[in-house]
Amino acid sequence: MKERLHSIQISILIYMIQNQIVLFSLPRLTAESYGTNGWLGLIFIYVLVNINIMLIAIIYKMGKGKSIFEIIETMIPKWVMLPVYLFIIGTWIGMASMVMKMYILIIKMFFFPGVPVTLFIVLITYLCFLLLKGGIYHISKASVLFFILTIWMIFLFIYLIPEFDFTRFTTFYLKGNTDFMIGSVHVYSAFLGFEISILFFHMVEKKWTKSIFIGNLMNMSIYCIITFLGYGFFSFNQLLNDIYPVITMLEYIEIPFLARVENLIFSFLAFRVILTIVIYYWGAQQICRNINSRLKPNYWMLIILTVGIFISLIPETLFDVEKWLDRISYFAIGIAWLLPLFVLCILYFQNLMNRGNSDAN
Amino acid sequence: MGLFRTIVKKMFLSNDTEDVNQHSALKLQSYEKASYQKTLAEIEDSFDLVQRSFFQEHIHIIYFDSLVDSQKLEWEILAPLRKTSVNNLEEFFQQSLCKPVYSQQEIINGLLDGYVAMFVGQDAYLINVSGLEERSITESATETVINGPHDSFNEAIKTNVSLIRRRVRSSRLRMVKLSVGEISKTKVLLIYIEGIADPHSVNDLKKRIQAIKIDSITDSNVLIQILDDHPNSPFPQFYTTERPDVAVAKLYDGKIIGLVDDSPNIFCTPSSFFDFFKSPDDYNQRWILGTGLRILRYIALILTLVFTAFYVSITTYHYEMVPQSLLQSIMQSRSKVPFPPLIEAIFLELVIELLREAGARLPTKIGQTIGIVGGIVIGQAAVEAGITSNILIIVVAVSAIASFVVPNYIMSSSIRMVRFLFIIMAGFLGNIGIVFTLGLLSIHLSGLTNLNSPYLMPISPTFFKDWLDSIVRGPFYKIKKQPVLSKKLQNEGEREN
Repeated sequence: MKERLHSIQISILIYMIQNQIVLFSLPRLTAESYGTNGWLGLIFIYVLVNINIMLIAIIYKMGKGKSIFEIIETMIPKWVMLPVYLFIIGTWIGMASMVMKMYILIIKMFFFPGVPVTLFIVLITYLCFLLLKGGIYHISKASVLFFILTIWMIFLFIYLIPEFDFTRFTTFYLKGNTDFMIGSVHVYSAFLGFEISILFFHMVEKKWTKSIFIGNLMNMSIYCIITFLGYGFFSFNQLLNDIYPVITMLEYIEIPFLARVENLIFSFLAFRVILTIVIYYWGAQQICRNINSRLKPNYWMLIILTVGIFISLIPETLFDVEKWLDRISYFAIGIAWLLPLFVLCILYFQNLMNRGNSDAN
Repeated sequence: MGLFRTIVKKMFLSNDTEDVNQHSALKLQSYEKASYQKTLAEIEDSFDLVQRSFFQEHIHIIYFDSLVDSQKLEWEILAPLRKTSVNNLEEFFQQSLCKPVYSQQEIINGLLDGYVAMFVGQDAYLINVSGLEERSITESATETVINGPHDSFNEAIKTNVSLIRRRVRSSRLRMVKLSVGEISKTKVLLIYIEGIADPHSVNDLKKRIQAIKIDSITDSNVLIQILDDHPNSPFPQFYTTERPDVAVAKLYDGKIIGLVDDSPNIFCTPSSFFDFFKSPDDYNQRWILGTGLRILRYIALILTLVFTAFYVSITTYHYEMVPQSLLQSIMQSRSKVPFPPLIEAIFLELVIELLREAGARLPTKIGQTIGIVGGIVIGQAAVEAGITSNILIIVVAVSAIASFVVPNYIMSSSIRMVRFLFIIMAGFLGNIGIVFTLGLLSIHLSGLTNLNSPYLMPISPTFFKDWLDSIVRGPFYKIKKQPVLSKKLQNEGEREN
């Protein structure tokens, strides 16, 4: 049987690969970007992300399941596209490295100040190597297990309900010293990861595109629940002053035999972080393979992982990493929008040319 | 003689399947002709070898005394031979169960299977009078159930087949006979139900078994390790059982079962990780209880893997995670212990493993004594001597008990072994170490396959309908008769054919 990605697997994969490292600062980000009751801004971003996904779905439908490389390279030679490919590869490897470094620095800052960063980098890269070695089917299968290992954590937030108070929401909507555009980009980066699905076309079962929407909806639900809880847990000013409000919220959770579960939950978040990193590496590997298919995929994988490790070693402080991640996120968002639009334009011209040819015949 | 040969050939050919036809055809193409002298030369130094001649050395018979049933031998061969004359041999052949054999190799194989080799001039025949001693059908010692059938397989393949046949009264039950081992020539029988099992999988398994180049196999557990897709994994990939009711249930699920001669364990494929957490008892009681038991086993799995590791992690790095009410007793318990939690835990886990291994190897009565000595004397003494803490003893005991809840012994042993990695990683990196190992384990498990079928079916890839008879034990009116993947594979196979 030729292995294919099933719709449920795709939904879970999309949910798992979306960049959840931003989740821990999401209540603050929405407060900074949209002001009071800023959690409502998530809905606006969700709609934008759905439009972005729709573009991918349209490409799949118009391209009749052909891979984007096939579509692009029927009109534009590979060497012309090379700089674009290299830019995408660089951005995706950079994104993966920075997500990894950010996660490591946060975990080091909060829980393991004495453990060297390189050890964490090696461990995470090793897991990425194992996943990449197995290909997308292995990644998708592992994502289901990772999903089961992480989804239970959402129920821990029930313990915060006694602390929740609607009066903290205030009666004002979207008021405050806000930075709508830049803030929106930051919030949008929390949804990134889904754009890699543009490379899934020839590996999926039919009618898979709705799975991307479902995956994104699952992610949005988690974001909404946690951000909403954050607005009822902290006052607006507290939210603005706490870098990682979700970690602070978790510190208050106490169950009969466990307290201060934030480090446990943050550790479990590694599964989602690993999948985000892996999927960006995998995307980069696919483009590398398209550039030079003669080199074995495993060599590409090793090159990409090595480059990833080196990039992640460059920024040293959390502040630097955030700055790098911000910039790379801009590029990644640009790719998420422009790549599908570009492919759509090519498809449109191809259709026009095909129609012209059939008329001439 | 010619008439006799035709009759016997017809009897022989009509009895068997396509495989045998092909097999015989191949043999006829290139064989070393069977002869009395060659046979004697090949097996001359055997103490149980018997050779007899009749009618002034016109007929010779050879057999192994230890492999034949002496009564059958008397009734089927010796007595009729005494009564007949050399001119009247055809009558004897018509009455007896003999089949003509052409190749020397076939004669040797037959003799080793308990047949009598008969040489009449240039012709050779095999007569089945085998009478191997076998253990009676008893209750399984490793897979006990409270409700349900209590019979189990034994070492005789024929008896095992009869236990399956009496449960599957269908003409669609197919059997493929194979042989493994250049020297041992161990019989392997693949059984499946036509129309339910995936034909691709049957062919694949057949090819794999035929491709095995090995001198001997001693048990089905050896064979499955050779057949494994991932031989370096600590996890068993083929499900094995001693219980005919389980074997038959697997057949109805569209799986293939394999019987190995001289082994009471049958293997079953394609198997999934969750098969190892099922017990026949789940089906013999109310579905709610069955489901509860299954969930209990998954909780046991988690406890076995991470409970001790979590203790090590918390007492080494994350004391803040202990609620105040519990902190005092943990601190008090650990205050006398001079070792770090990692050493303490590994020491105690090793002691438990030693006790388990000693208990398993010793006779039952002494094994019980070992349990008492280990559990009570060593445990209490270790705490009083300040080598371990009370809390750790509880943690390790819970973890050990949980490991025995897993119904399959091989899976339970694998999980216990993997647990050590969790403990070591927890000792070095705390919670993140546990999570890293959990990640490693998940990646490993999700990459495993059994006969090219994903090991984590039906969780990953996800087939929700199959969860009712894997993750939980749903009510019978809801359980589908055939798993989704098996049906899918079968449909694909039919389409391709």
